[in-house]
Amino acid sequence: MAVNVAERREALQHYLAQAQGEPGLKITALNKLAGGTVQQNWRVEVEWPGAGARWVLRTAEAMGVADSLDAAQEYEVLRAAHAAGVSVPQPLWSCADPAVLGQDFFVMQFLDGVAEPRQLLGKALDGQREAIIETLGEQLGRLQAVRPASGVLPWLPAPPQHTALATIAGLRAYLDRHELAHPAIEFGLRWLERNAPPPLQAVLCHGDFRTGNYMVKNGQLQGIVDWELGHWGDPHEDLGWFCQRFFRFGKVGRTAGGMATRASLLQGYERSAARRVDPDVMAYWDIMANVKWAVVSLQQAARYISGAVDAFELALVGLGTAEMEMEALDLIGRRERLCHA
Amino acid sequence: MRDRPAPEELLQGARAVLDRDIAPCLEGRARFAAIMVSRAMSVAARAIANGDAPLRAEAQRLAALLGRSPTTALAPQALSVVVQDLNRVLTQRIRNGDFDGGDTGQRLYDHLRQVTLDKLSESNPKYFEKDKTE
Repeated sequence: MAVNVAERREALQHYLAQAQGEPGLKITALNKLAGGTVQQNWRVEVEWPGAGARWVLRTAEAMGVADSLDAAQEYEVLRAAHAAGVSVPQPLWSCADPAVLGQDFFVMQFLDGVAEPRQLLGKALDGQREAIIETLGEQLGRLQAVRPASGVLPWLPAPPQHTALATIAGLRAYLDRHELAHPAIEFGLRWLERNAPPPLQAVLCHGDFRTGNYMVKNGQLQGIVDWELGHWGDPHEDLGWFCQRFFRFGKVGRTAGGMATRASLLQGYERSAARRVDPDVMAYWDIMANVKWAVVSLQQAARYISGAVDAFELALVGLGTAEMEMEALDLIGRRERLCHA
Repeated sequence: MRDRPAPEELLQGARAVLDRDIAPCLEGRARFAAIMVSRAMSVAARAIANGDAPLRAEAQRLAALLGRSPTTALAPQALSVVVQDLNRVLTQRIRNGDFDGGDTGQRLYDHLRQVTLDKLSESNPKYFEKDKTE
């Protein structure tokens, strides 16, 4: 059972007062933010003599979710991104003292703005989306300056020798545990295996770089959030993930996250990453992202069907598997000049 | 013989009430939940209306693709087990490279597209409508 942060208000206030170095610090508001079955976020408003601040506290909601970093680790990834000049909520403190909440948590600056995809895709941002996505691409290019060789995040699992092939092996391992076989996904994985480009030097990947995980206010990018899936991987991974069909939220004609053209994303990215994206390699990682989401959608549905998480929206995510399979079939069919009726 | 309305008619009717009389009165999370429920009901109604026809067709194509004798008439439950088994065999052969390229690759591709189209016709028939954005 995860902690109810509101019940630990006094201990939290004591901790924050020490961390800020302001003995008179008081919590004036403590509210849980919407969303998240894996992490919980609390908006913390504080005041001390002469000043105040708005922060976000982040801690685990569900315990032991595979592949996801714990609070202390996510904090370190956020710090690395921040140090690289990426637009993120400024990380403040990480706390492992069980006397405070009973579980690890960290505190960062509160970012004002909207992350909800439907709002970002709606009329309010018409005419501003291409610029937002170009800026976002620029952030991704900066993030990729963080590399294993730089000595940061030494505890992160070492990058696989061949990211694409390792990803394929991981997805197959999950499919082997699933109750039903999925030949269309297998067809995609086989194609990915046979067409894998040579591996590139690993970079820091966000891991869930998509519309919904960045905040926008008044047409300006405020920052990228949710770093719990940070890992070493291929430079194209986050780019492909951003463009896969599910994360266009119905605006499939806007390739970059339902927001803009891919050209805008890549323009910003190529400027700060100081490298050109090879369209063939990009196309490969597009297919990878769609196939991977097809598998993730099975996993999400399984979390609901097994009774592990009582969230019906996960069942509907499962209904999206066929869309991802069709997208992968279309993309591969076009590259291989396969015909269809 | 059950009396009508049939199961899919009940689902369609219930969904119409939800869309027309309930969802418009709701806001925020409750409205989002109503839209979700409506979508789930429409998928279930389409699947019930299609019955096991797509599964039967899949079984026949799988048998042809894998060089097995065609599946003879089976109860839906048994048919489902047969298709699951054939799909496991197909998966293994895909991984082995038995369908890499050429005519067999094209035949596999045709089959997979058909299976996926059949699923989409139930889960999201609007998939092929042209996106009006941009």
